[in-house]
Amino acid sequence: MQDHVQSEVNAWKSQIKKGTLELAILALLDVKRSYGLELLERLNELDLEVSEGSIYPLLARLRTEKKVTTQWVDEGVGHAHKYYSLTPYGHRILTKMLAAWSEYTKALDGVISKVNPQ
Amino acid sequence: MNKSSKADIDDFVSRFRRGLAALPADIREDLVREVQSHFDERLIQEKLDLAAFGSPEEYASRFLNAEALRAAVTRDNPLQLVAVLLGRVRATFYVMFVVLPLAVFEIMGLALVVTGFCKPFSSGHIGLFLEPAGRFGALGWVNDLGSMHEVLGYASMPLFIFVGLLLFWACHRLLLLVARRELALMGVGR
Repeated sequence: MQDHVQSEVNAWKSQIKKGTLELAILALLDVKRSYGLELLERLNELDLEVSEGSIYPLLARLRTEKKVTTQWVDEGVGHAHKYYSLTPYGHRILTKMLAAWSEYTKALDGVISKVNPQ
Repeated sequence: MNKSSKADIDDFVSRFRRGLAALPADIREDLVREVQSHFDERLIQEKLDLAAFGSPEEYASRFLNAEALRAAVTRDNPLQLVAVLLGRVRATFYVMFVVLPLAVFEIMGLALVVTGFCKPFSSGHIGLFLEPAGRFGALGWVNDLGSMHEVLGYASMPLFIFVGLLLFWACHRLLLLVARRELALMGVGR
């Protein structure tokens, strides 16, 4: 029973991550340009637990949607890095997403603050 | 400690490149170079685990839709555009010709089990029926027998139940495989 509860919670957490990963990546890129592995490590440091291979298909989609641009940079470490930067369009999307997220969490807080977890 | 070696990287990258064959060469090589760079860095960090990427072919398929569509639209290439849009239709064919038939066979398996259990209540109308010439006539429940005759007798009861359960189980396992593959392709998180 406990296992089933935990797997339900894990599936729910996975859905949340799936829905918010784009916001997290755009927010990180707004602070500074980064390459894929750098983003992945930053997200995992923040306990957002992104699986190793998931970041690149998402970054490819963000580039397709013109929210980010890319540039190869050789920093002399033996292999070049593909850096991602936010475009002005991506920045506008991020601003709107942050406002929507803030509204949403405020509304949700209004609901869950009434719940007694005991 | 690396869980994969340089040889594993070479194999993955080569199969990943083949999986992206439908993409224009510059886009394909850009993606391959990025993944290769990731592996090289992980190898230096001693944290390389290719299993986290799944199979190279499935991993490549996660890029195909978005990148192929982008290339077709930005290059305004009518042939490429048609090919990409047809590729998206393929998902519908996949449902029609893989998922739907499996679901139908699964239901048929269940129906066969129910038919087997009904044999004592309608013994003359349930079983394997042959035409007078010995050719196959019908299997299962038959209302109008015509000139056909049943040949299995009560042996059809365990036979129908066993074959029905086997069919149901096999289709269910295949549908589970299909669902797991879909989950892997959508996968985010650990």
